Amino acid sequence: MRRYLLELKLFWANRFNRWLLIAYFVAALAAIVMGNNAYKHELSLVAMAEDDYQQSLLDYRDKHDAGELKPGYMGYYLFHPVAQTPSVWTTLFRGERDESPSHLRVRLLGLQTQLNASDPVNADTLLSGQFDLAFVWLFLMPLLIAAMGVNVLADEKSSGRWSMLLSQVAQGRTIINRKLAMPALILAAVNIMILALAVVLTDLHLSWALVGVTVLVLLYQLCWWLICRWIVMLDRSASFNYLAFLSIWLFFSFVIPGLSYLYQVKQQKPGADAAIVFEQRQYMNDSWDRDKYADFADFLERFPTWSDTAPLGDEFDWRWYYAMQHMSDVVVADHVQQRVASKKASYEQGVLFSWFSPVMSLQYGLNRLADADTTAYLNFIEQVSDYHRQLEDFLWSFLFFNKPFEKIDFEHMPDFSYESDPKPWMDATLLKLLLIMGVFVALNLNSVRRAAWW
Amino acid sequence: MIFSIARHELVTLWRQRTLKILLPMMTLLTLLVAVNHWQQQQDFIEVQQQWQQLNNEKWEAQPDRHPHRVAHYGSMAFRVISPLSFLDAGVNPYVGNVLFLEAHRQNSSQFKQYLSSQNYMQLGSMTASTLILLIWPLVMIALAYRTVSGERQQGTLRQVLSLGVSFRQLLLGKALAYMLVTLVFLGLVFGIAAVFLSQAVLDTDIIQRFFWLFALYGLYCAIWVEIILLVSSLTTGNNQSLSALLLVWLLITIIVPKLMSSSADWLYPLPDRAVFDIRTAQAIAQIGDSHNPDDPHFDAFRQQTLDQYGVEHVEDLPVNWRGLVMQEGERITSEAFEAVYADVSRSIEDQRRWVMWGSLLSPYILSRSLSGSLALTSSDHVQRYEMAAERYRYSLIQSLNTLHAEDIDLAHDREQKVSQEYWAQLADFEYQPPPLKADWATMRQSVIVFSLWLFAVFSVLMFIRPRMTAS
Repeated sequence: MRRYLLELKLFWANRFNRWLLIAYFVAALAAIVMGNNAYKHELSLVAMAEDDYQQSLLDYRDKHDAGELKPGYMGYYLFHPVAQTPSVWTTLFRGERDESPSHLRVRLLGLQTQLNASDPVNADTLLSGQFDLAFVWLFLMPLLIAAMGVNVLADEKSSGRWSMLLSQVAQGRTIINRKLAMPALILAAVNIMILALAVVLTDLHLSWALVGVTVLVLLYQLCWWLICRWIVMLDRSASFNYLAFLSIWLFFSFVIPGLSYLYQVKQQKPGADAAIVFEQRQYMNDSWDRDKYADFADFLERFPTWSDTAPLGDEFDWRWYYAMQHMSDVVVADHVQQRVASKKASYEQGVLFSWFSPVMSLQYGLNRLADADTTAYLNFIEQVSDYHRQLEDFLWSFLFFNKPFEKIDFEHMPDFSYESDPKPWMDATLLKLLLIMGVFVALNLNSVRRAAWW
Repeated sequence: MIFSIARHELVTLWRQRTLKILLPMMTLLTLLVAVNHWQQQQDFIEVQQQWQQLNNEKWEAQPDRHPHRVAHYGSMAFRVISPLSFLDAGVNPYVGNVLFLEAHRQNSSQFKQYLSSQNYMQLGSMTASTLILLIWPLVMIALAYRTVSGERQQGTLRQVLSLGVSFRQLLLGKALAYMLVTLVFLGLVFGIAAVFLSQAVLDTDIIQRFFWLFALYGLYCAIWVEIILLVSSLTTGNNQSLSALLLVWLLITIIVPKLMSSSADWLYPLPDRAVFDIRTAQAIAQIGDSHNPDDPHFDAFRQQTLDQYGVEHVEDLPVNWRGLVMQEGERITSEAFEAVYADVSRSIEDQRRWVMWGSLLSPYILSRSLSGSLALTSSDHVQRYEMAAERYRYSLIQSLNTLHAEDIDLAHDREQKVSQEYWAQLADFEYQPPPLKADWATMRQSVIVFSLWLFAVFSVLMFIRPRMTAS
């Protein structure tokens, strides 16, 4: 124990180590503060839209009181906000959240043209990516581990102390382990401190998920520690160690994700999605020139729920209008399905690649936890589609069955509330990390056998 | 003297394995990535052009229609990406490429080039420009970190200087050697890229941009050579030199750019789609609602129009009152949208300006921005495209509203149609990206700071005195 204390003193006496740890801590703190801010900003936008929505509903109630409410018009002019409410974990792990819109407004027109709108963004910030805690942990922590540990042996050797140290113990390995254990323990403590601080500073609560994250992060740290130890045991020069570690880091954090991306995009058909909005608009507008009675009869045949309705007259009729809007979604359904399937497939391909990189495996896990990945986005889209259908059912029941819209009916207007996808995040991530660690444990053991002086 | 130093440095480099492994590996990887992107890019350009053509054909093939129906049918704009995207994709993967232009509404671009998430490439996406701007400096660090510190550690520095070689000459010679290695790398990459490019592009503007990209990357690498020589001269030994350089690399290429853009988001937040639309709707409602017959703005507009034509009732106007209302409504929508959009643009501009402060710490930020501007893949170019599309939308819809006012009678307005011959007379959307000459104006500030970097590090390098011995 006393030796470990001495080792701790020695570690702390090194100014370089001290500054790196402090910088790491400050970076993590900044990431948490900025992440929390982004989360709060998103919540405020959702609240703003909700206020606006409630105000419009009040206006429509007033119209109703004045006897001026026309449900047909309301379907056209009333926009309903839909938000993929951010999980509190997005404070720490933004994931893919900034890539697709998570807050839209829909009305009773063809859904697809509304669903694929995009946020007003500064694409440059997307290009740089977020400085969130996920980034600090996934990408910077390995480098910190290397800076503090990869040259423990090379430094002792170059300072000439190694042979002296070696003469005091039975196995050189003991010294190396002790020297490597110190920064690892301190870093683990700092990481736990960072998480604790996140709980204090943000809306995160103590939960099993938090325990899970702690376990995964510590395992991830251990994984890079094993890589570091393996390089140390190769017993090469300090520069070699740095470059070797950096190459492994680049391989896991840049090359594998990059190749994964290249592979994913190679599977996709370029420009295919344009068909969704192109054909939808074509169908919708052409319907004004087609035989509206035939189209409407066709619609009623397809959706017999509404067939018990009065025949169309010569005048413009909202029933026909909404039926055509709905049909414009039906005609592009195959394209939409294709798009969803491709997106899913692309995500699955990425997950497959993540088995080969600790960085990617933890990243997929954390993004899943934060409900900020492709799965979450597709889930959101599906829920918006369901909601759109509910809205149609609600309003159509007045239009098609000629039912008067009473004031109490405002209470029955469907509400959208996003339900996050409960797909698990922990098990697969744990397994992947353990498997990758297994490889480096084996390499560690192998190098022990090779180095006689251990 | 400088040349013989350079030659000596190259011979030493050649004797080590590092160069023989890293140079071919990097060249191959960069080419592999560029060629891969080239294929994707050409396929995408072709598909987008086909869509645009189909859109134009369908537009002309419309039957006789009421002009307001045609305004709702609208048009579509399919963004064609720059032929230099295969070198620097810039913001392409993050922006939509399909824009539906219709009456009353300014839609946002939809559908990105790829369906895959970029999130797993936090260090930068796998493109030639990332490999050159991010990874190649690292390769140069690995090749050159001990170029001065090593000589000092071995004691050869004192010997060389005692032969009458000045330290400046030594540095210049070494710099020349590493620049030559860089030029071999860039030369191979750009040489093969030129073969691909020449098959598809004859536009001199693009070819000029291609050469400027080469120059930019070359000069950016020159800044790195300077930094490496500086650090290697100032540190006490090889290890210190390497660890200091790696830290500098990490700061310049990863931490500063990310920190600046994340904090820009924090300092100048943007609305999302829903809130943007709400603000636009509120701005419109504040001016006037064309669909509300009792709207005070349109009441005044009616009176003004009646006075202008000297008649009492809208039915007596020589033009169709509804068409005029549509025109005025479109004008208001557009004005409101532009006001809200200008707010967002200001925030984006503030964000950019903030990030540019980071370029005082990081030439990487500068080079990435210049590279995007040269390759026509910067966010600025996308914004300009979208603004041009919006101008086109506005003029198209207003032409149709004019048609509505002049060729459709107020009585039985909805039942009337205009002959399909008109559709072909309205212009298609054709966008030409700005020529390089016009782009220099937007790049001026970056170019100045970039040159400052180049000369500042060079000047420091020329005035330092070497440490003679390792500590």
